[in-house]
Amino acid sequence: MRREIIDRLERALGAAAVTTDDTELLVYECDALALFKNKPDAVVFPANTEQVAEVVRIANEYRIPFLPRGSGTGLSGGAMAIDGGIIIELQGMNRILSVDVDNRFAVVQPGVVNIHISQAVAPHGLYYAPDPSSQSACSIGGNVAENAGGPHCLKYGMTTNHILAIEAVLSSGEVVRLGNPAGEAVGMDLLGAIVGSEGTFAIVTEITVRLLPKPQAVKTLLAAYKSFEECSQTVSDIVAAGIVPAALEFMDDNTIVAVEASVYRAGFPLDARAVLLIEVDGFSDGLTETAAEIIEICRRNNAYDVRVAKDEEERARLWMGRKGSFGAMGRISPDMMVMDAVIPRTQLPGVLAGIERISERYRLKVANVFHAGDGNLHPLILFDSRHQDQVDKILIMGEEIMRLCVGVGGSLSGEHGVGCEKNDFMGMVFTESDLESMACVKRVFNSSGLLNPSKVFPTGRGCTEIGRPGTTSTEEIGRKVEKMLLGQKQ
Amino acid sequence: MVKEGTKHPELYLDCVHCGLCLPSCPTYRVLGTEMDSPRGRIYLMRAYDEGRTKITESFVEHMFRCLDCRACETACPSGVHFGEMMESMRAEIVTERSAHWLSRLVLKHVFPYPWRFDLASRALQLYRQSGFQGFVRSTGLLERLAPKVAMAEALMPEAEIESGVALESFHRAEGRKQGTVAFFTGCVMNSMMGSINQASVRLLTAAGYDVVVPGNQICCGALANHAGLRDTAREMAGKNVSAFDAKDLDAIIINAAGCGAMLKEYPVLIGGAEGFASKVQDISEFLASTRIYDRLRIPIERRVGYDDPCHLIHGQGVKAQPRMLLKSIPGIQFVEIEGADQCCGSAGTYNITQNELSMEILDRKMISIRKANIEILATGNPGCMFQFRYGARRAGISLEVVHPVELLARSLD
Ligand SMILES: Cc1cc2nc3c(=O)[nH]c(=O)nc-3n(C[C@H](O)[C@H](O)[C@H](O)COP(=O)(O)OP(=O)(O)OC[C@H]3O[C@@H](n4cnc5c(N)ncnc54)[C@H](O)[C@@H]3O)c2cc1C
Ligand code: SF4
Ligand code: SF4
Repeated sequence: MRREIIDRLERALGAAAVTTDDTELLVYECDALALFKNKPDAVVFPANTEQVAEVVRIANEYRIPFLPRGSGTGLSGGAMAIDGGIIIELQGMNRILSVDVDNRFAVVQPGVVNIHISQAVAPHGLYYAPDPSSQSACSIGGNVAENAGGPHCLKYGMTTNHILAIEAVLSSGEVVRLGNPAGEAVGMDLLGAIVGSEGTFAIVTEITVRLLPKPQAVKTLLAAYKSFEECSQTVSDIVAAGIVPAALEFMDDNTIVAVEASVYRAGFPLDARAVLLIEVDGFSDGLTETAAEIIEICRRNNAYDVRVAKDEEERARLWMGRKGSFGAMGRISPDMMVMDAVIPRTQLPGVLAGIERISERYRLKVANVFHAGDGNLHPLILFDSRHQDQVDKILIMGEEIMRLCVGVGGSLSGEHGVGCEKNDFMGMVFTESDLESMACVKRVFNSSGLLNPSKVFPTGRGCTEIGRPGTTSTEEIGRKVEKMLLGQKQ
Repeated sequence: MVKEGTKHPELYLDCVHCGLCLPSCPTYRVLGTEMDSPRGRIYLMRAYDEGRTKITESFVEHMFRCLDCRACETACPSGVHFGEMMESMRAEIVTERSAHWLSRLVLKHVFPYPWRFDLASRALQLYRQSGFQGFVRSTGLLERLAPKVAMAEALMPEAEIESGVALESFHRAEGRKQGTVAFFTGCVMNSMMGSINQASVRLLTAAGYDVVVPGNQICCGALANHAGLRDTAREMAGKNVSAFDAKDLDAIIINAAGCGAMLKEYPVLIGGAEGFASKVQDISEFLASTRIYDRLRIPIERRVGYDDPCHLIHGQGVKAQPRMLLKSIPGIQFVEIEGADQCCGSAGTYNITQNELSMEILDRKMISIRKANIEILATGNPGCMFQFRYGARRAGISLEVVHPVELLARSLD
């Protein structure tokens, strides 16, 4: 990056808040999807909204791409500087500005870690409901950008249902305020457009979140099965019975092995093919009956073991195990690729079987751990990135799995976003004119196009060609893999 | 890719880059920078191993800014062996960049500030016994520091030297004998905080154990190891292992968390240390399972808090036992301190080499100490005790800082 630009940034933020050091830039070359990487030209650490806006204005002046980053736990390459440029790291803006207990909302800066909100308001009997498994680390700004979900979003809704107002910097450097803490704002719902825009519409610099009173009572159940089918059928039956669990999570045998080998081991049965983690909450009245009804449904579907967490400690352990499960994959594999897709619940058995066939064909293990209640699948492909053939294989495998899900009426992403991981798959679900109208909306917010470019919309090139010279498109990778597989057969 | 000296190459493959460790890391919490997070540091180690980066100035800085507190290990779902990785990385840095980084750090951060010599001179006492001396001499540093150290010592003569527990001594169990343990004196504990060792031995005998103190033991080598002086550390480990007859003992007791974690990890450094390491127990870990409770009879009516030393809670997984013991002192009002499991910023010589950051971490800690409104703070590691005493002075809080065994011994009938 030119010295002149660096000087401008340093004058605006102070020298300590700007880095162009090669070693330091290296750690910012990817988010939690480490497969795709590209180094930014600079990383800046603004302390307030005005500094964010100033960086944006400077970037505009020199026509350099820029993008916001929270904790970098994103799983779709959203915070990766695919075209280089400036990463605006918002970790420094991590204060809870105010809490309004009576009206149940909190005003926070974007770098605040999700769980820190609940911890801060716990003394008032309140909490912030959306609970992505990464909640102990991910930032609320990142949650807004990805419209993050979590186990308990089955009952309580995704991030978008819990954001009342925001302050944001548009790609021009203009600062806007949208929404209203008192509830529905007058006029068009522009706030709704920004939540879930994956950091391509605006940089969110302040957020007013809704707080909920903690449920009076909670019951957590663990049901173990010998087959995927019985496990999936239970999910459908619970929903069909009109029960709305707070959470309904699925974990398969590979996942259980990994979790039980980690610090988050929680006593998940190692001999199960799959387990369901089911939680119901609400008023104490009637909760025991609901739990009994669920146990009955589990039994009817041949659950060979059903147990209820006996106290808060056991409940917390089960959830820690579930939430630590992506990370625990490191116990059984050097690398993993987390997929994210949504399918109609009734298609679960067929899709799981399909994924298993794909896994066998490519000889790469897949672990399944996901939000079963809303059909939000997370196949985790386990591989070793030191072997280029495996890297090539997972990309094409990922595409096959996406096609399988879309084929049964599903969608590309439940909660992790499209980013630069699945932007080239957008054509699977959207027509040219769909995409064009979406692009029009994007241009309204991001008129210069410099804010987080080459994300969400198809670019005709995979991230791979950036990070890994030598592979150019998924199509070409497909041909390579085909050749490889054919070669093996002979 | 396998490097000489790194016994466990590619430990970084355990890291799946999920980021769940970030908020547990004290340096990340203060700085908010990825390169000062566990994930970032591992990423850099991997990049180095794969030839994507060299050991640059900033590489060294981010590696040595790590407190080696292991909070990330407790948080990591993937079971990353962070401490082991960091120590072999530092060893690599020291080999690759010779000793320049240390002289530079000391010169840059200690030399210009007389008050830091209070700390530095204490640390130098440590160096003398920890195997650093030869190393520091070879950099020509000592000659340059010596006059200043003398001055600092004159200014601040409070580094009292207490006599500790004699080497090659034997202490008989009180009452019916339950077994025999050996006592590891630790170099600081015995020379600067000798009364803590005396209290430890009293408690062990009161609990019904014969205590032997082998004469050939030396410093555990933790400081050398954290600084990347692996060979020195190995040599020291070897000497200690042969100083103890592990098989005839019920346990080898240590009361300094940092040393305890090191002793338990000897098998990573040298072969044949498994028998020794399996017997090592922190004093609180051991006492909690004895009949000592019956002997705690003299009430201590004070508000007491406990802060977890990193190398006890994260390094050895000991959390409940010290609390259990303290709570069983009659009359005590035990207060749980918010964030007790988070590092105080002391970390061996960190408060000297990374002073600004260390002080920022300490200031945050003192906020929760103030909130807890306690009269006495107990913590089981000498470095942390120094740090808290300094922190209390700095924050203007009147606070007695003790080792848990000191309180327990006061309560002995
Ligand atoms: C172990 C693990 C478990 C996970 N579980 C879940 C889960 O259950 N549910 C779920 O939904 N996700 C989950 N995720 C994905 C991830 O945690 C979420 O997408 C999260 O919202 C990302 O937050 P972040 O702060 O890490 O954002 P980053 O990764 O830093 O950024 C993500 C995107 O948001 C943008 N962005 C960041 N901050 C801002 C801002 N202030 N304004 C505008 N745009 C911004 C970035 O440009 C990027 O496009 C998981 C990830 C991991 C590693
Ligand atoms: S929690 Fe463990 S696996 Fe995840 S980034 Fe940190 S060290 Fe790596
Ligand atoms: S050892 Fe402590 S300071 Fe070092 S990376 Fe881990 S948590 Fe951070």
